[in-house]
Amino acid sequence: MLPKTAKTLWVLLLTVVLAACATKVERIDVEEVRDLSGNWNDTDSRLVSEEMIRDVLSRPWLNRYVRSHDGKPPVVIVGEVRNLSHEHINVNTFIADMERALINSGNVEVVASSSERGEVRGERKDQDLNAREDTRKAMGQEIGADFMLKGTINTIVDAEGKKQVKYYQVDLTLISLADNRKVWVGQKKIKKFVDKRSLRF
Amino acid sequence: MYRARGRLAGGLCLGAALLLSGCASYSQRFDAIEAQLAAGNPSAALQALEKDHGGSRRDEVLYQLNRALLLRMQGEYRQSNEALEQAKRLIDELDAVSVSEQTGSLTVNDTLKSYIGTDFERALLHVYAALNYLQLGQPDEARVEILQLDVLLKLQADGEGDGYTEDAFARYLSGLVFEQLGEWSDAMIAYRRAYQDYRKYRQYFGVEPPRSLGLALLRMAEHLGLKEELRQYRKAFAIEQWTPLPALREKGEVVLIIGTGLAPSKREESTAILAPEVGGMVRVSLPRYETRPQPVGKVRLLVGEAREAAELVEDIDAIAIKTLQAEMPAITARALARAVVKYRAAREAGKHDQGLGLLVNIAGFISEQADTRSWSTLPQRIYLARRFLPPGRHDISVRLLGRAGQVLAQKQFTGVAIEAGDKVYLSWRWIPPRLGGR
Repeated sequence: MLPKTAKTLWVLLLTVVLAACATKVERIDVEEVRDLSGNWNDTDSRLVSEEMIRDVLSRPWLNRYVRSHDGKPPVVIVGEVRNLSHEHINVNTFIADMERALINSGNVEVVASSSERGEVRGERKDQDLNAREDTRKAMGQEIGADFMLKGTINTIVDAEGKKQVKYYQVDLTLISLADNRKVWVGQKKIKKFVDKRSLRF
Repeated sequence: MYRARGRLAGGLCLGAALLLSGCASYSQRFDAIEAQLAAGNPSAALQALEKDHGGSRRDEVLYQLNRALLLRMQGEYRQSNEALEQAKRLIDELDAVSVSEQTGSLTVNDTLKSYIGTDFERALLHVYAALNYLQLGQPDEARVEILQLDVLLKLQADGEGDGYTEDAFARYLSGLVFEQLGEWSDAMIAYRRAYQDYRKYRQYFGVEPPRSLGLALLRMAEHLGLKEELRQYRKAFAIEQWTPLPALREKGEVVLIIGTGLAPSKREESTAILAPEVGGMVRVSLPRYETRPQPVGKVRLLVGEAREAAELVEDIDAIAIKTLQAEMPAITARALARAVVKYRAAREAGKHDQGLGLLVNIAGFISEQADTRSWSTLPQRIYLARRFLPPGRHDISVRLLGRAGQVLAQKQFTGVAIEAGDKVYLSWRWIPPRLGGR
């Protein structure tokens, strides 16, 4: 006969083991920060893009442009954001976040990037052949952008044993397409300390 | 009552032991896959691998690594990288010391530990991921792998100590990637590091610093104005003439990576000792590398009339053997500790019941198994050739020559498009039809 405490322990252990086996799903808010591996994640992408777009829209270049162009908002194209980091970062979500923040601000106009344009042009070509004349969109009527937003994501990783310090730096530049002037340079830094577990069952 | 329960425990032990020994050692199970590879049929090898993989988490990393290379052989670079990413994630997860697995390895055998790859295998994981990205035409993604590789190599041994502490080929490839992206100073640092590592390779693995690395070092040192270093490399490589970097930017470059053969496989070697006190035997099983014959003498790259020798950049045979040698004291210590544990268990059981003692002894004997797991789809050797070509389309062929100068195999790449200032990566994996060594 097993003593009572031992029995209780067994039941407890069994419960723990069984509980670990079941898949658990829990819905979390998109805004909620949950870091798992310490890698670049959705929260980083969102925080950086929102903050940087807020910054770019609050700087003097915008007012200066609007004043000198009879109140017309500048047209911006989002160019390449190069991933020079230690991780395979999906730059597309980052670019999409930025485009969204820019368009929704209403202060600037955004035109389709070079990768998206191809499809739009193909459609226009198709309309030329197949669409009714009064709905047909003519070619050669695209709006040329005034500024291009481009940048890089860089990291510095310092690791020792199971400990890692990850430092992300996102640099964005807004360049005037007319004369290569840099009208705004923005920077956002994120620093993370990752301590990996050294023991498992 | 006690006796009956003891017998039951003994029976369970025996059952477990039989179950364990029922599956042949990892490298033995791999023979079928190797046979398909020797027959030049990587897709059948992949099927055999998938059939063999029972979903065991302990071997999952190895499964993904092998899968990645078999997919790469079929030109499925994207899928190959997905497998490598999975392997990476698992290694990260399994890197923590497991209490249960450690206990298992000290009482039953070493195969109860999760396999997370040796130092050189983990470095080559990133090398192959980078190569896949380069062949997909995504140098920025290859750069990510190179940076991860740098963190890994820094953590590994910091380049100190004997044998394999740094991967010279990985560093050389890093230089190539940085050069392609126009990051000259990073390229210089990587090439310089590769040169230091190759000097170690010369000492430990008999691999000379490649001449193409010498040329790259000279070009970079000249371009960056490092006069003293330029003088040193000129002397070390005995190169008097080279084309300066700006002139080469008007040409394109083809980089050819050739993997030959298969990495050595681990075999088990057992010693049985009679232990009369328990009326049975105690067994100690240790792994040993078995290399395969190496038939390749020279590798040649042919473009039109021009010939270029591909150089040996990584000798995986030599590295694997050296690595196992370095691990051997720890493996042997664990095996001896296990023998003691198993012997004591049998003796204790024998005190109560002789039959039970014998059962425990047999169980211990059978369950003793050497860990013969290794990334066996890796090539035996890696060769590299670089050639600058004018922009346009070129027919490029590679010829493998045997030790006596006879042609072993030939491969043709037709209409390779070369652009100015860019690099094109080509790869070929050749596995001899007769692997031998059994």
